[in-house]
Amino acid sequence: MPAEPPSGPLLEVRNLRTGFRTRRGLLQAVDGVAFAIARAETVAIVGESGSGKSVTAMSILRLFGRTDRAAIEGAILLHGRDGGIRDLVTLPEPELRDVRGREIAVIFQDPSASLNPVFPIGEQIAEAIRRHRPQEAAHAARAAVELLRDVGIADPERRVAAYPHQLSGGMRQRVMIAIALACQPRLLIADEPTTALDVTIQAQIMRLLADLKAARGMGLLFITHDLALVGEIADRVVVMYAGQVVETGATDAVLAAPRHPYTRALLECRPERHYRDGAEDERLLRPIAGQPPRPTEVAAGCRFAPRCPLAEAACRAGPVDLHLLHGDRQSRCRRWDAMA
Amino acid sequence: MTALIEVAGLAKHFPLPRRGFGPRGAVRAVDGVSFRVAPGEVLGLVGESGSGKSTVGRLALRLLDPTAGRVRFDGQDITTASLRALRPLRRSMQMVFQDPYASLNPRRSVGEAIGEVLRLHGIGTRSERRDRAGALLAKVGLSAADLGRMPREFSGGQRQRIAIARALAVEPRFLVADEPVSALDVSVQAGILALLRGLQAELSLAMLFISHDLSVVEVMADRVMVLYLGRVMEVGPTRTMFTAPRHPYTAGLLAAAPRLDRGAAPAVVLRDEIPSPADPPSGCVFRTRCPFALADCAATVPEPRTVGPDHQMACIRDDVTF
Ligand SMILES: Nc1ncnc2c1ncn2[C@@H]1O[C@H](COP(=O)(O)OP(=O)(O)OP(=O)(O)O)[C@@H](O)[C@H]1O
Ligand SMILES: Nc1ncnc2c1ncn2[C@@H]1O[C@H](COP(=O)(O)OP(=O)(O)OP(=O)(O)O)[C@@H](O)[C@H]1O
Ligand code: SF4
Ligand code: SF4
Ligand SMILES: [Mg+2]
Ligand SMILES: [Mg+2]
Repeated sequence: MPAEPPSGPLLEVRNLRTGFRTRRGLLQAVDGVAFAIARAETVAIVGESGSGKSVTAMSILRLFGRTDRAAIEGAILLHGRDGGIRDLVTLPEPELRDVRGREIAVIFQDPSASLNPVFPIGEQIAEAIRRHRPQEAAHAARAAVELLRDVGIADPERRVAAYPHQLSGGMRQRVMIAIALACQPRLLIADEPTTALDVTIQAQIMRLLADLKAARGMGLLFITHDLALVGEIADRVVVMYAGQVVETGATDAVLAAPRHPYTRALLECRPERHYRDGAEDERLLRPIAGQPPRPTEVAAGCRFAPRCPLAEAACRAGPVDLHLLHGDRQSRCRRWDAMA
Repeated sequence: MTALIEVAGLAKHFPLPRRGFGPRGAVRAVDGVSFRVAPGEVLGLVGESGSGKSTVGRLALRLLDPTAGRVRFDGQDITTASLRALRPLRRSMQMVFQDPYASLNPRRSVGEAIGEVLRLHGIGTRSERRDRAGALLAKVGLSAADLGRMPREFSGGQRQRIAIARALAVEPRFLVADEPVSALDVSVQAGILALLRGLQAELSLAMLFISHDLSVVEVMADRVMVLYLGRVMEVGPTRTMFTAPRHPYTAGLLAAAPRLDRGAAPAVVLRDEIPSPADPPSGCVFRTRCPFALADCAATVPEPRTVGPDHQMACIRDDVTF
């Protein structure tokens, strides 16, 4: 395997538009999303339910079924180890299948849905190894044990024989990670991998992902609705709202001083309590008023305007573009400088 | 303060299906749990999945019969009361569940759902019930105009508001809220929590607030109780529990919660997973994951002991601090 250059682009998503042809017309779930992931970098996508995070992730590998009637436009450029560039939007299916196996792997929130209930887990990992690394087929069973060890499963020699239902949710997610790693991906996409887990197990999986990423020099696209997790793992963050990117930049900078009212609202809606001596404690409960627009009824102007405390008439007049603030910091808010 | 709810030595063991000829095992879901909730007080209940939180909530309302122990409501023992004697008390004790989709009948309008609860308790005439349902909807941030609408027409957060309105319709004095915001988006959680907290204070409700989300429990609770494998590890005032926990498990839970302002490395890192409650460790049930365990921890079950004002914990060590 050629050595990976230590830096440079890995994946570039440009003006991604993914829609679904439904009976009631085209549902534009993702509408002009752009971001890039450098080699060995972790990028997080964060946003409310329905903002288009999963559709973005699924678009990268075209994981939709025929009945989804998905239409993907734009460009998704994968930079190869050898420097070659392929556009995953137009790549023929057989070649894309190769990418799915060898370059990019995905793990989802619900590992049960992806594991086969009738095969022992070791067999499922070995199968992934045989499929993606045929040259190692002879040692697949042993490699499966090693992968289980890598993902922190104790007593892996015995555990390879276990069936998915014999494992806890956290263990099943570890097995999914092991299967994803079997192809030695250059990019791992993790779509809310810890949402169904206890905080203690979540913390373990987060540590595991960070360690594996560092050890293998993988890129990581981490999808979550929890900004605190973003802060723990990501180098850069992409905030999505109603199918669009509304803010992006270095994680620390965005969390410390958001430049889009939606990002700030997401930070502030986390419950907080400030203890006071000799007085009533301050309990901060600040929901984001209203709801995101349905994909079928987005307004012409800023999509966040109906919920935005800074909105003014001009915000509703026409589309608001992403403003480049400095470096790679961007905000889709006309009034970003009023937020300092 | 006199307690509205007083629970002593509560246990619930679910029998396991018999295997072979051996003795029949049991899941020790709850084991020796005692606590009190005063009128107008919120007791938060936290612990990992399977620690017994929901079982405690259901036992406290006697939706389940305990294997051992007692629950007193307003001085009356409800563990031995007949179902008939319980009926007038039922009205005083209500529950809100995690899943706002499952807890509302999809074929009943919102007005019917609330009216039904009132009718069951023999409250008001038909038109009085309707007025009352409208007023309740207004209280939870919806409106009387929503009475005729069906549950599917509402978002998850709105459905949870309806479930809260229904629980409060009969003017309970004690409410068990079991993960009431866990199924909701973060952006709407705060609204539901503010609503619950406001109503709780206004109506002077006693509340058992169950959640696996520590930041949610921190804002809601006056006191916090930590469960592990069906046993109470620590209980104390919210501020004490979050700023100066004494039990290693509490410290581990706090360290695991993701937070934006993470500073130094966590004091306690919890490894592995909660063992099966069908076969809990001897002595201190937490010892298999405890970084501070000593040989003695396997021998005896630590008794809860008082370590500060209103603050108890069940650990034999007092030489560790976090
Ligand atoms: N196969 C599909 N057919 C039609 N609409 C879809 C399909 N998949 C997703 N959508 C719609 O696209 C929008 C974005 O969905 P997506 O799953 O990307 O949201 P998300 O940000 O991942 O939310 P969550 O946090 O709930 O996972 C939603 O309105 C959703 O209903
Ligand atoms: N009806 C039942 N029959 C058998 N076992 C049960 C029953 N109800 C609960 N249990 C078991 O009792 C233990 C405690 O369950 P409980 O639902 O109270 O936990 P919990 O703390 O509420 O967990 P979660 O966070 O997942 O809701 C678990 O091991 C569970 O499997
Ligand atoms: S453009 Fe206007 S409405 Fe949109 S986020 Fe900025 S201030 Fe709010
Ligand atoms: S009693 Fe022992 S095992 Fe249990 S929490 Fe204390 S030190 Fe840890
Ligand atoms: Mg999703
Ligand atoms: Mg529960």
